[in-house]
Amino acid sequence: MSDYSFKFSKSSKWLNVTLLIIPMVLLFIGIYGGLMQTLFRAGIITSDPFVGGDYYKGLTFHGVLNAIVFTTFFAVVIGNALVAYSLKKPLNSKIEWLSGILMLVGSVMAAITIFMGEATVLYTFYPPLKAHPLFYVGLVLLVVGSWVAFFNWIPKYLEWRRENKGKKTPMAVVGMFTTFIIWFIATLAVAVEILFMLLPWSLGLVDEINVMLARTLFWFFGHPLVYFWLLPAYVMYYVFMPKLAGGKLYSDMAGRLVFMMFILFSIPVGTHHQYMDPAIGAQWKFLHGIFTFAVALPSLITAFTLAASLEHAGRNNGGTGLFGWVRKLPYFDKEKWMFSYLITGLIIFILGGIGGIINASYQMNTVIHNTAWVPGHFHLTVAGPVLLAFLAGSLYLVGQFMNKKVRMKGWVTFVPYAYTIGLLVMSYGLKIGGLKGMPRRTMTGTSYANPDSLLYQADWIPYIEMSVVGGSVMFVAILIYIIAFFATVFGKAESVEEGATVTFPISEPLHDEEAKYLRNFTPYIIIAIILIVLSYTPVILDVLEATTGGSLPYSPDSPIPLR
Amino acid sequence: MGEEKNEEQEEFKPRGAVAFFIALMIFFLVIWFLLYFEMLGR
Repeated sequence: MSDYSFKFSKSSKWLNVTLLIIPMVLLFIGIYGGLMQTLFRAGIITSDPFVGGDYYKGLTFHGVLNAIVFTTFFAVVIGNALVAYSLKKPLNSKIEWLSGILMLVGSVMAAITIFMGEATVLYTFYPPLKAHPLFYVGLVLLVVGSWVAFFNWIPKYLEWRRENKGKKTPMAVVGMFTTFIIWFIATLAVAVEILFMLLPWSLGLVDEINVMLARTLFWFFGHPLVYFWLLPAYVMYYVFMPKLAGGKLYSDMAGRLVFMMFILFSIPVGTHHQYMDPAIGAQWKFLHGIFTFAVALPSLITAFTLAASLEHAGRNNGGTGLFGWVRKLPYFDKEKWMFSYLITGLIIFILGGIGGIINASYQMNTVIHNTAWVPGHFHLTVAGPVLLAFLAGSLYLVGQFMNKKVRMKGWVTFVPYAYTIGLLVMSYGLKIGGLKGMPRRTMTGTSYANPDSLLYQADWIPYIEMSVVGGSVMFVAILIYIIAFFATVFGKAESVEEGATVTFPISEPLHDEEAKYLRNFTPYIIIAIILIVLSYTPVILDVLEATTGGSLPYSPDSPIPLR
Repeated sequence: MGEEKNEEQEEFKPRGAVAFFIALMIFFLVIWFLLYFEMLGR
C-alpha cells in the first residue's frame, strides 16, 4: 500500500460513507430483481414474490438500480476520494453534500415510482412507454447531482495546475476527469430528451412525442454511458492493479493515451444501437460503426499494457518463462483481496470485448439484434468488469472512510471467482439462446418456455435453464459480498477519529514517458465536439426529415422512399 | 536510483504480454468469423 495518506474532514467522510451504503442496499434490491428475471423467463414464477408486479417491473428496477443508480453513485464517490487524495486538496464539503442530496433524492423518487408500478419503462425509458413525471424528475436530479460533484473537482484541479506547472496530472485524476467529461457531454442529450420531450408528455402538456428523436437522443447518451461505467474500473486497473500484483504500470503514457482516446471516440458512436431503426441513413450508421471500432482501440491498448504490467509483477514474484509469471500473481492472497476482483473482471472483459465488436459490425448486428445475446453481452461488461471493480472499490472505500478492517477476507476473496463462474454460465445461456433466436426483454416463461403455449421452443430450454443456474450462483456470491460489506460497516473501528485517513495502492510507472501531448484535456474536448457535430448533425437531420411533415413519398416501383 | 530504474526498464521485455496479445487477437478473429459465417449461413 502507498505510504501517503490523506485526511478527509468529518463532513466529507460521512457524505461518502452515505453515498456508498445507500446505493449498496439499492444494488442488492436490483440484483434480487436480476435473480427474479431468470426465474420469470424460465416460467418458475409469474409474479414477484416479495416486491410484487410482473416481469417488466422487475426488469425495470433491475436495470435502473444496478446500471444507472449504483454506478453513478460509485463513480462520484471514487472521484471525490481520488481527486482529493491525488491532488492533496480537500473538496468543498458543502457542495459535496448538495451533490449527494440531489442524487439521493432523485434515486429514491425514481425507485418509488418504479416500485409503485408507475414507471415500468425499462432502463432505456423509450417512448411510447410512459412513466410517472416523478421518475423523470428523479433521473434529472441524479444526473444534476453527479454534475455538481464534478464541478466541485474542477476548481481544485485548476488550482493544482497553477501550483504545479510542468508536472503531469496524477493518472487517477486524468481518469476521473475523463469519466466525467464524457458523462457531462453525453448527459446533455438525455437532459434535452427528458426536459423537452418526456417530461412535458408525461405531464400531459403535449399529446404526442417524436419516438425516433427520443431514441436518437437516448443513444447519444446511452453508449457513452458504457464508458462512464467502464472508466472508473479502468482507473482502478491502471492505478491500483499493478501495485497490488507486486509490480509497476508498464507505461504511463499508454494510460494517458487511452483516457484521451475515450474522450475523442466515446460519443459519436450511439447510432450503432440503432442499426435496425428506420429514419437514419445507412451511411451515418456506418460512420458510427467506424467510430465504434475506433473506441475499441483504447481497450486493446489497455489489454496489452495491463498484461505487460502483470507480467512485470509476476516476474518480480519469481515467475519465469513465457507464461510462468501468470502463476505468480496474488489470485488468492487475502491481504490483496481487491486483486481478485480486478483480475476476474479483466478475464470476463475478454469475452465482453469481442461481443461488443460483433454487435458493432453493421450487418452482423442483424444476427444478434434484440435477442438474448444482447443482455448476455452487457452482463459480460457492466455486470462483469464494471460491477466487480465497483464492488471492490466500494468495500475498500467504506473500510478506509470508516477506519475499519475489511471483514471476512477469505470469503471476500472467494466471491469474484464464484460470481465469474455464475456469470459465464448465465451469459453462455443467454448468448447461445440468442443465436438460436431467443428474444431479449420478453417474458419467455409464459410463452416460449411454456410447454402449454403454441409458441413453445423446446430447444431454447437448456439455455434458459443455464441462465437460472448461473444467475443463482451470481446471486449467492453477491449475497456473501453484501454480508461482508455490512460486517465491515458494523465492525469495530480500528481507532476513533473525527475525519478519515485514507490511503490507496498507487502504482508507480515503469516507463514514465514525457507524454507532452497528453497533458491537456482542452484539445481533446474540442476535437471530440467537432466529431460529435460532424457525426450527429446528419443523423438528427435525417430523423427530423423522416418524422415531420408526414410520410416520405414512395413510387410503386421501388421500396426506397423518394427524397 | 535513476540508473537502477533504467536497468530495470532495459531488462524487462514483456514477451509474455506480446504473446498474450497475439493470442487475444487470434481468439477475437476466430469468434468474429464464427459469427460472420453464422450470418452468411442464414
